[in-house]
Amino acid sequence: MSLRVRLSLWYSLILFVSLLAAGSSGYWRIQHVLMKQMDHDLSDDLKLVRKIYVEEKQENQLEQFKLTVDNMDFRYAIFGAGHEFLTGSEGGRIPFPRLTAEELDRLKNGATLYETPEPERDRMPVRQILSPVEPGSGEILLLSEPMERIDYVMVRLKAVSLVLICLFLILSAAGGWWMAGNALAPIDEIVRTARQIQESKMSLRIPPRELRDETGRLIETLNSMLDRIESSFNQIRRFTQDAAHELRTPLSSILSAVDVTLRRKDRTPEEYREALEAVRGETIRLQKLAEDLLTIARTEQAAERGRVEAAGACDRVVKDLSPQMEAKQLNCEIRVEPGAVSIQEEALVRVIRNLLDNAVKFSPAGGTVQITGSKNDAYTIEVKDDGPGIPNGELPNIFERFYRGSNARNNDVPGSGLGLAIAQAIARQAGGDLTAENSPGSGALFRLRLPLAAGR
Amino acid sequence: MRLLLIEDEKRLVAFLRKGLREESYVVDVATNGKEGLEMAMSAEYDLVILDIALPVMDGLTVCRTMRERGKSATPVLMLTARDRVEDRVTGLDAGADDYLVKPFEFDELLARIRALLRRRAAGGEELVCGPIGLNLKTHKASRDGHAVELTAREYSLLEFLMRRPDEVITRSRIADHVWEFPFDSESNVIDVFINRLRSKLDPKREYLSTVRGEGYRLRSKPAMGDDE
Repeated sequence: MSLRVRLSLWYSLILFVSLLAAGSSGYWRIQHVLMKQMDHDLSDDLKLVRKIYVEEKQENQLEQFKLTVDNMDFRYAIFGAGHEFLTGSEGGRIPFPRLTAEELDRLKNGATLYETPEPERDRMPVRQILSPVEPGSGEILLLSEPMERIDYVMVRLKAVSLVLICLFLILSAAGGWWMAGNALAPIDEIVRTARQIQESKMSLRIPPRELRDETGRLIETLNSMLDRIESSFNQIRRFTQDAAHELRTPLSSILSAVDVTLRRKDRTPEEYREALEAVRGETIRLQKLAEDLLTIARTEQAAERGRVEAAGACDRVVKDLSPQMEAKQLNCEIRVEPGAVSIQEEALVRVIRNLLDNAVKFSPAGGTVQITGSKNDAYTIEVKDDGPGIPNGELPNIFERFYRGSNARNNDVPGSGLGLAIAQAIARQAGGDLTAENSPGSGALFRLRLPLAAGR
Repeated sequence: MRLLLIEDEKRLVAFLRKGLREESYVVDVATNGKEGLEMAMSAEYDLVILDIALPVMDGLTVCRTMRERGKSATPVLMLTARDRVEDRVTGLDAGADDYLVKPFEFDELLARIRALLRRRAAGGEELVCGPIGLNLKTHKASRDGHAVELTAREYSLLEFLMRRPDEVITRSRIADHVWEFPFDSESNVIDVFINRLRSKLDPKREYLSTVRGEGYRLRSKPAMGDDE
C-alpha cells in the first residue's frame, strides 16, 4: 500500500474517531443539560402541585385541586403509604414505578427521585419525579412528563452530526490525499531520476526545489552524494586508464623488440642479445609497476596499527641506499631524534626509501641530502635535497598517481610515477600526511608527519 | 621513403628504427614533442609516426600545430597506449590519418605505413609509370609485364621516383629520401643507382631521364629525344 494511501487512511481514521468522540460527548452533554432543564421544570411543577394539594386537602377542596392540576401540561398521580393509587390525571393510571429498596428508603426519608421508566409499548418515554407530599404523611406525589421535547432535539442533533461528520470526513480525506500527493511528488521524481543515473549518465542530478523543507534537503543531500560518487568514479576511471597506459608501454617495447628481431632468420648473436636485454629491462619495469599497483590496492584497505622506532627505520634506509649515494658522491646528513611512531615498520621504511630515493635521483653529483626527525605532538621526518626542486606549477600535482614531473621526464629519471602517490597514501592511512615544498635555498623538501605511538 | 619517428621510449625507438631501416625506409628520430615538431616543419617527410604521450609537448599538440602551420599533406600515424573510442576520435580530429594502439605487431605497423603512403600517392598496391610497374607489397618491379628483381636500395629509389611521375627531382632530394647518411655531393652514388635502374627497366632511356644541371625525371610517356 502506498505511503499516500496509508497517510490518507490514517488521517481519516483519526479524524473519524475524533469527530465521533466529539460528536458523542456533545450529544450526551446536550442530552444531559436538556434533561437537567426538564428535571428542574418538573421540580418546580412538583413544588407547585404539592402546595396546591396540601392547601386544597386542608380545605377539603380536592375537586378544586384536580381541576387546577388537570389543566397543567403534565400527568400526575398521588399514591398512599402502601403505594396504592389515590388520585391522578385522567387518561390512564400511572403505575407506581419500580424502585429499589434503597430508593424506597430514601423516598421515605423525604428525598426527591427522578426516574425514566421503560416506556410502555407504543408510548413515548417519560420522565417522572417522585416525592413524599409531606414528611410523615406517607403519601407520595408523582409527576410525569413525556420526553418528547428532548427527543425532538436529540434526533435532529444526531442526524445533523452524522451528516457533518461524513462531510468532514470526505473533505479531509480528499484534502489529505491531495496534500500527501503534493508532499510526496518530489519523492517520485527522485526515484525516476535516480533510476536513470548509471555509469554512463553519471552527470544527472535531481532538480532542486526552492522550498527548504525535508524533501528539499533530501534532494540537496542526494545531489551532493552523487557529486562525490561521480568524482570517485572519474578518479577510478582515470587511474585505470593511466594504469593501462603504463602497463601497455613496456609491453609494446617488448613486442616490437621481439617482432623486429624475428623478422630475419640471419640475426647475429649480438642482435639476439640486444633484444633479450631489452625484453629483460622492460619486464623488470613491468614487474615494478605491477608491485606498485598492488601496493596501492592494498593500502586502500584498512591497515593494522604498528609501532616502530623512527631512528631505526631511517638508518636502515640510508644503509640500503648507500651504494647509490656513493656512486653520486652525495653527502648524507642525518639528525633523527628518538621517537616511536604509530605505523607498520615496512610501511614506514617504504615511505622513507621513496623520499630518499627521489632525493638521490635528483641530487647533483657531490650534493647533500639531509634527513631530520623531530618529535613534538607528532613525529616529523624531513628529507631535503639540493637538486632542481619542484617547479611551482607542478607542486600540487606531484602526489597524483602516475604523475611524472617535467624534471623526471625530461632528464630521463626512471620511475612509474606511483612512488609518491603510494607514500602519501601510506602516510594518510596511518593517520598522518606527506607534503612537499621547495626549500628556500634550492632543492625539494618533503615533510612526513606521523602520529606518535601510544604508551612505552 | 623518409619517415619521422617521434617517440620517447628508448628501447622501442631502437627496435622500430632497426626494423624500419631493414624495410628500406629512412628513419629520423625525435624523442620529445618539441624536437619532433621542429624536425617535421623543417624537412620533408613522407610519413610521420607520432606517439601521443611525449615530454615537453604531447603528440596531439604536435599534430595540430603541424597541420596549422601548413604541413597538411604529410600523413601522420599516431601510436598510443590509449584505446578508448574518445581517444581515437581526439587523435583523428587532431589531424592524424591513422591510429595504432600499443602494443602492436610490427607487421601491422608496416601495413599501415604502406597504406598511408599508398593513399598519398592515390594508387593501389601497384605503382605504374608507362610500361614500368612496381608492386609495393612484394617490392618486385616489372617491365612490360616481365618481373624484374631489385635490390632494397634500387627499390627505394624507384618507389620514390614513381611516386612523383614527370617531376624533376634534384639529387639532394633523392639523397635525403632514399639514403640514410649524407654523402659528398661530388659522389656519384645516385648516378650509379639510376644507371642500374635503367639497365634493368629502361635500357633505351625512354622514361628515366637525366635533366642536366637539375636532376632526374621519371616520365610516364617515352621521351621524344629532346633531353638526354
